[in-house]
Amino acid sequence: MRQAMVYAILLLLMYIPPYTMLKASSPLALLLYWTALGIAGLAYAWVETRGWGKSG
Amino acid sequence: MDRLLIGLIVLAAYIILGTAVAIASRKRLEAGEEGFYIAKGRLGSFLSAMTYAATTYSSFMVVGLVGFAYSTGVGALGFELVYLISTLGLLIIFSRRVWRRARERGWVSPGEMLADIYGSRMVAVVASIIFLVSLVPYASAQLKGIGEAVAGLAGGGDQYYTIGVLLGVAVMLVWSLVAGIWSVAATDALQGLWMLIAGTMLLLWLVAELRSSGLGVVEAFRVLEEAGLAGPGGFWSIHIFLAFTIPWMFFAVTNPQVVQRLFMPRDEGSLRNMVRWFGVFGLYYTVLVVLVGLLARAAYEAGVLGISVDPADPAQRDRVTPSLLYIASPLLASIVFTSIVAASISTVDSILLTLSSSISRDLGAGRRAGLAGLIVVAGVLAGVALARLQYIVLLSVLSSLMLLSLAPATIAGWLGRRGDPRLVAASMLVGPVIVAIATVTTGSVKAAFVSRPMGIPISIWILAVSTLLVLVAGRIRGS
Repeated sequence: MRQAMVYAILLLLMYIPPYTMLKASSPLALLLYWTALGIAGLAYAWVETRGWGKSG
Repeated sequence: MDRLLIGLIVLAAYIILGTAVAIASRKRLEAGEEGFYIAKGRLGSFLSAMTYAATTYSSFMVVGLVGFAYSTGVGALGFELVYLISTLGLLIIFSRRVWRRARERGWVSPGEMLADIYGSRMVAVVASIIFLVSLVPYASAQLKGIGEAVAGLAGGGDQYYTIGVLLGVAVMLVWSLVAGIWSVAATDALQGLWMLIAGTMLLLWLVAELRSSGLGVVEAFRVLEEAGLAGPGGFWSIHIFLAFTIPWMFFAVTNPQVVQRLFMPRDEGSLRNMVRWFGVFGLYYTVLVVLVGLLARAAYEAGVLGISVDPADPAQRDRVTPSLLYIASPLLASIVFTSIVAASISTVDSILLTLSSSISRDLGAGRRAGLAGLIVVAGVLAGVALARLQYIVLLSVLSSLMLLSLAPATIAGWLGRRGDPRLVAASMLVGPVIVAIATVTTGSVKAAFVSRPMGIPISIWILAVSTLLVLVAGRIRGS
């Protein structure tokens, strides 16, 4: 459930700020913002899979 | 002529190299359908990650998404990264349990998985028919991408488009049939690397060209802002953003060619590396491709490089990449052009193999009929591509919309829920039925895709109705 929550929050962050507080921001700012969320999603996947294949 | 000749030489080198890789992979092929379609679950980390990434990322990226970023701005990045983040989430949550159950239960095709979960072969048959119907436009769009790329390289001409489509069909057939998933995965690895290298070269060239025209990257973004591309507005209104992103969010669950890849890693370590390196590939390639589109648009707005594609004309979106290739050096253009072919073939041969496994296993036709079906489907794809229907993005996304109704049944099954198989099968049909109704009532595929019955995007309707049916199916089974 924690994993689902993390990705749900990341997805909400993909939608809500760009259509509210970042609505008038520059293309570069939005590119960096969305890319940062992509990096966060990837980093979390990296952490969550650390234990895979190391037991059982 | 030089441009065409160099293009043909690079393309020939790619085909020869790919065919050599495919033939070399034959020694790993084991007898039986499990060996041919899923490598008996023996793919290592590298092949697992590269085949997942290369199958997922098609010519839509370097043709369609470049054009989208060019025409509509940075919202195209949000659209594609919603897909990546949701896919990573779904893989983290489900891939390990699916991989384990696939080994326990001996799943080969995604339809077989659903039939086993819900205890009914009818579920597999319905799923297979939906796969076949839905993936034809998606895979045809890939062949269309090859045709457009060849025509662009040769400076236009319908005959070159036709040659490109037919060449693509021939290569993907050979690479699928030589050693099944082994030749597909091995050539996917080659093609994935080619896509990354070519994309990087294209971006670096574009940055260098802009700089030599006095336009740095930061200045280019300022030009975009002055051109009115600030924020996600314009084309990317919130309802368009939802219409485009929701079907893609469930791609990893609904598209059989990627679901089947969860059955293939040889151990959990390989599965872990598949998820991780797919994510690295996806993030890098997405940002890279969007940057190419945005910088090309900045060049257009600044009046440099001679790009003349009208960003206001949706029909010209797919011409942005070919127009860049036309002004690039012949060698770079040939390498990027070949990466478009590679991206298409790596996607379509995977789809073909998966559909073949569906015909063989889910429809019960047997391996010979599965292979014959592969050839027939390839012919249908070529026919649709040669008819040049609509433009590439809508064709691709429409497939995801039709497949979307498989998501509730698949996720419920992965979570261990059961249900009445008739209602489960009915839930899977919701997507194609609603898409058909919307197309008839709105009068066009494009209007159907962005339609909002009662103010709610059509994708939400599909998810809601199919989820409701799966929930009711669980109640009936449980009572």
